[in-house]
Amino acid sequence: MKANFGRRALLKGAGAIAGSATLGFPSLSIAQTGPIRIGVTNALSGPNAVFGEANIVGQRLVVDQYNRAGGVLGRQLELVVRDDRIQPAVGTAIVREFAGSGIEFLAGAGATTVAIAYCGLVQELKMLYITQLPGMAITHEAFNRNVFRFNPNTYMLFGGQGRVLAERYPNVLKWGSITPDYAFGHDAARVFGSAVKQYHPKRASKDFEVAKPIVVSGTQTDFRPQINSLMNSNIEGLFIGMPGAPGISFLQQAHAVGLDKKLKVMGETSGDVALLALGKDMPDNVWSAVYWPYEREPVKSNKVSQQLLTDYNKVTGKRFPNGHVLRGSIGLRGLLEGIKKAKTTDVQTVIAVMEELSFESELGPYSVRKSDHAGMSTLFVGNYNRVETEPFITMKEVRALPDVSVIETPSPGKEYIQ
Amino acid sequence: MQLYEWLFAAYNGIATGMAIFLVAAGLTWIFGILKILNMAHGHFFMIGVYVAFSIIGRHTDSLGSYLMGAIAAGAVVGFLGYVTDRLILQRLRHVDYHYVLIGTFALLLCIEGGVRLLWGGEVHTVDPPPVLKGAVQVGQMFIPKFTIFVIAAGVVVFSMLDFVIHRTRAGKLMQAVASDPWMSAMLGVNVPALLRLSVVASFALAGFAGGLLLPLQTVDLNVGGSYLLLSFFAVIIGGLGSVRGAFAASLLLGVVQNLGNVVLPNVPGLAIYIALTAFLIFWPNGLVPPKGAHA
Repeated sequence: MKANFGRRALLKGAGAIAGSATLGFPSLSIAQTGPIRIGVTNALSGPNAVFGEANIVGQRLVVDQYNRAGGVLGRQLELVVRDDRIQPAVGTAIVREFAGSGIEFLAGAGATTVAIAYCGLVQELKMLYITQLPGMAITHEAFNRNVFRFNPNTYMLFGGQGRVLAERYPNVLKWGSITPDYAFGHDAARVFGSAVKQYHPKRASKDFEVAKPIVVSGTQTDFRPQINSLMNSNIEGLFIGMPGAPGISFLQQAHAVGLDKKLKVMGETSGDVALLALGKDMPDNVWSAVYWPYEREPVKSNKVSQQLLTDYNKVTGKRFPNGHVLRGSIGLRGLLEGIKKAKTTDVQTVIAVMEELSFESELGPYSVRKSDHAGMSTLFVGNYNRVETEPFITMKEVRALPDVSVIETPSPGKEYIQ
Repeated sequence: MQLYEWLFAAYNGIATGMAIFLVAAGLTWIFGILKILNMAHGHFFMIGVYVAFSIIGRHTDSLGSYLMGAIAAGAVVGFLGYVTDRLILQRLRHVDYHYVLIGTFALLLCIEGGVRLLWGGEVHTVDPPPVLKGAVQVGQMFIPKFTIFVIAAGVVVFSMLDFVIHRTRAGKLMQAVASDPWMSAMLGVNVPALLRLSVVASFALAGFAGGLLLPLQTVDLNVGGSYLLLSFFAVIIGGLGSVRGAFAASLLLGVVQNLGNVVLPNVPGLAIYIALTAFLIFWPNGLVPPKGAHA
């Protein structure tokens, strides 16, 4: 009896295993034929939401384009979007949740501090992470093979801008900057000032001067005392390091008292997202990084850019996208091209392919530098001016610098020291 | 450091202080009467900003239409105060203050989500009316005309509030209800109606302030938080529930913040926390302590 019972039990056990295996196959099958899921975190609330929302619009448009074309590897794409509230603790909890639900690809982050927290985590969780953020640490001390950065970093953005302004305005000898009291602001002002000192044609003149940055609180929205001091100073060229809403407030308050008329030139960090918000308060002669010069050649004739713009107009009903839409789209396009070329969603294989990746982006040919996974194309710096008709802003001049000419020497794993 | 920089910082401190007071007035009023610390007050101010923005648009044609926009924002937010009182605050009147904080914080989150759904997350700016645009130059100081208006508005609002609270029958009844609601009810005062009126007035003040300060900052989802912290500081330093105290404290905070940035340019924003710490140590009941408070 005992032996029979044992056999029956064994048979039942075998049947159960076979049954569970059979039941298991469909789920495995679903994982391989269901949608490719990409986890996205970004700032959907707080001061960076204006950038985060634009990034996600760009990412959704790219996903829609690929899905319309049949998806990637025959599978549809699905974005799983969460608000990281620009808090590393919130973001890392979301990423763990993504990993737990089988998501292997991660994009975004609402701030560099969040992105840095992700760098170590994605290695531990065996995920592939692409970010649009400019913080230097991402491709330096926080770097590992699972992390890729598309879009220019702080050094490229503000070093490039400083170089363009120094060469374009040789008669502006007194330069100043105003910067928020946190790492991004200090880095941006320092890099800008260094580039002006390096490239200004009259840097040897005794009258040439780059003043010490004016530091303001990170949450400050009232800049009138600093603006009054600038009105009384001999500064002719000013770099504004406050991104987002504070930067907009500064320009609005500066315009109210005529600081924009007194200065010969201004540079700033947010791009058209800030300047579009100014409306009739738009000052003249402001230079900024142009993330998506869709009305300027060669980007205007670029088919990828044209398609993104058409989709943007159709989906949002708005005419004028800001450049942060492209900052979201370009990285996701890079990731999807990587998966396509890898012909698999296996993370290690996709990483190996993306290290050699080159693809046609909205800005033209785009490539990845293998040593530190920095994406490179062309950096555009534009001169914005006021016009009387909507959107009250026009781009008078654009200077293009190949990313390769403004990027720093790679030193992955090591802190970047200028 | 030159003299004009000190003078301008002091002047701008007064303008900042008046802006803080316009937001803090409603907050201290509702605390004084209902003993409710409304965590969502800044977000009702934000609703006022967005309502006025929807009415006025990005460019105002005249001072009159701008003021009408602010008054309409006050009316809309006042009505929302009535609804909020019926649905939420009324239920929080007789519970522990922890629940009040949690309840009003939940309200704050709901408002943030609602505003995002209705108006989106984009940043906008609004021009002051033409008569308040530009700046007046006094020596080396470039004084924006709009800040002169904000100072005047702050003084007018304070004077009106002070008059209503201390010189009218309604104000005295509200003080009586704040002091002893049971005894007031015994003497025939309609306490529930007065409490509701106080809530509506407090919310209307927040909405009116939102409309009035519209051209002073960007219109975005952070605008609620930008004044809330300073308003709480003003209520704490001024003495809980005192409009006069909140007025004095707002001015003090504005001046300390601006002069602090002149004295300590490399640690902007620190001076205000030093001032708050000093007040909590040396004047824990505030400049105008509530009746019966002991240090």
